[in-house]
Amino acid sequence: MKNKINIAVACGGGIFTTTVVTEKLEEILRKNNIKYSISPHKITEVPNITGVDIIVVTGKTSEKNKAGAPVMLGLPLFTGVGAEEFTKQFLEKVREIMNNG
Amino acid sequence: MSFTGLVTSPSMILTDCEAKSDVEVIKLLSGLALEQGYVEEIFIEKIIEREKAYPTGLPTEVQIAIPHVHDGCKKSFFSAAVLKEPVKFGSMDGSDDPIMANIVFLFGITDPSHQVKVLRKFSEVFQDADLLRDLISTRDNKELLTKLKGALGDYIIIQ
Repeated sequence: MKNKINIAVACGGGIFTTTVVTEKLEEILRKNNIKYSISPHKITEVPNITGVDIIVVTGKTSEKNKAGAPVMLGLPLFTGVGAEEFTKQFLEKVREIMNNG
Repeated sequence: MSFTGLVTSPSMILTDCEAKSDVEVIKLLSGLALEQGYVEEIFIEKIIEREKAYPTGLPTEVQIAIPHVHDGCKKSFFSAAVLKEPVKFGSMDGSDDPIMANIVFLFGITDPSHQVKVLRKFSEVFQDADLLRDLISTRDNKELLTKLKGALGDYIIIQ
């Protein structure tokens, strides 16, 4: 059982959507009493990010993470369209990783 | 957390804009930012490059596009154009359905870590379909700026 989840957030430029989506993820994790660390990245870095449990991207990518971290499209947290559904899937994923870690 | 609003001016808020492509709108708005001294010339090249690699059309209820970059930005700014005819942008989520934007918000951001609140506030505006519909139907740029100021308050600084 892991006691903390490590998340990478990545967008095209590592600026706008990353900043907003990071804030929303922090809010979700705090509300659910889950310890976390979140780091900002650019989408081009997705294949080579190491040491994270989940990667949340806010833009298009077909790249997989070489270290095996699952990649989720977190744009709903930015646009609000489908945000609830994303939050549910995200929390399921986080809990699955923490229980198996 | 330090607080910095984004600067703008009536000359950077356009209505009845006749641009025909994403690149044309981006060149137009970033050219205005260059005239105001908010960016260096490299900004225009970088923001177009970025739009091609990672498009910024948002699949929101009222579709918009939000080109932005930080390379070559000297002062964080905000600009907007209401388009006469919708312009096609790529979708940020990578889907093949293009975004037909009626309004484009173009940003330069110097340091996102200092602008979390501002960016968050803007993201609320992007989700507000009623407000966006009202903005899109505005024909006068000063009126548009007044409406934006009403929605964003201290988060935009009019110069």
